[in-house]
Amino acid sequence: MPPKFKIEFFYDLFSPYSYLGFEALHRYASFWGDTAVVLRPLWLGAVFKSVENAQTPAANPFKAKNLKTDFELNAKYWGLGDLRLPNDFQKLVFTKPSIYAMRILIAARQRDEKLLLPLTRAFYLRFFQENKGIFEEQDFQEVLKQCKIPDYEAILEAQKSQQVKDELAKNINDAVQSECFGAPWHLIYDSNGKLIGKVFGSDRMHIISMIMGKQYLGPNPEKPFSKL
Amino acid sequence: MNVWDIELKLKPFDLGAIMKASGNRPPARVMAKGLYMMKDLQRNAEFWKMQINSPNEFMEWIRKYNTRDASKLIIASKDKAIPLARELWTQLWSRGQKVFEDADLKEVLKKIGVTNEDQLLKESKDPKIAQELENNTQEAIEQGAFGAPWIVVHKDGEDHYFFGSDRFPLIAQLIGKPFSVPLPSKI
Repeated sequence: MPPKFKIEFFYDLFSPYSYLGFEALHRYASFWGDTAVVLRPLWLGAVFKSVENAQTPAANPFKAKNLKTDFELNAKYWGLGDLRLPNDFQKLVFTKPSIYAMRILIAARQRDEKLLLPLTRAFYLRFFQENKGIFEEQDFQEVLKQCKIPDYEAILEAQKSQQVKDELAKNINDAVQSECFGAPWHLIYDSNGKLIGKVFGSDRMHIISMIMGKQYLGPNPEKPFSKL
Repeated sequence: MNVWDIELKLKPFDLGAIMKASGNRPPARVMAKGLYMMKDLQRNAEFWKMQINSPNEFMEWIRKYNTRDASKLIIASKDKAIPLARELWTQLWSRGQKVFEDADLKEVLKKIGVTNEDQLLKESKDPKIAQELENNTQEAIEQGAFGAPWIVVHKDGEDHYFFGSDRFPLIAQLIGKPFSVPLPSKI
């Protein structure tokens, strides 16, 4: 039987809240059993530019300070352990591009759809758990090898292909067309393919649940009312 | 029914001053964000089973008026602060009516059963009350506030800061209290 719902998940590897949303959504999708998650890597830099969003969390020192602790507390809430922003996060996001890592994700997906989920998770853990870079060829090699992708060199090469650039551009364009202004950005479809909701943020699982006529059961839907 | 045994203290502040000090801009400055925010507000109201109707004249009102007098009234109202704050919000965000001028404020005071509304309104104009509003604002700026609600949790001699109405699960985690949503009972 085809899944009852489909959720397109637009994300960038630089976005800490995208990682929280990525884990939260997959946890719920697996618990519900009737929802397909489609991962759509985008490049947030292009989205921010397109919608003229200059009020990003890292761009304001007051917000950046809050982002640091809020991210750590949310990671604990979702049971994801000790995640933290790299010390120079604010500097990194304005000096290093995430676009190459995003292209690696797409190149891997074009090779084999099943690679996208574990590779996305591996990149996020490298950046937000180990606080290592996700910018250089060396970084990509390490992540691809760690995920035991045999022909990783082909993926490194395909990263530069027009086919990969086109898919990234399409993801960015589809997101912006659907009024995306940040990440994570969710497009929720029912079984007829009708768009029933657009949702921003990793802190809206209760709203996503409500749109789909389901109940939000906290960070651990398998054991919703377990003691803290 | 109170689910958590905590002491709750309302501290009205001047959001305009907070935005200015932190260099923050209202979400509606980004068009896509502004549109989304209205939708998000409605969805969250539905989730919490609250009635929110944004006033049609909202954009005009935020240019023309401020909430300083309403905030000062909450400070002056002492033990009536919570019912008064709720009624002011209901007046503005549910009935879509103003809460900026003396006549607006008197009407709200009557709704919560205050009989000495003129006296209370007079007290709220005391410079000491204005000073308290200013102090609340300065305190929040020093803590790093950049918007509202700004929530400070005092626990074991330490202060923890939270931004947003969507951070109650994190506050529950911090103070070791259960949090199931929506809340088990309406107030």
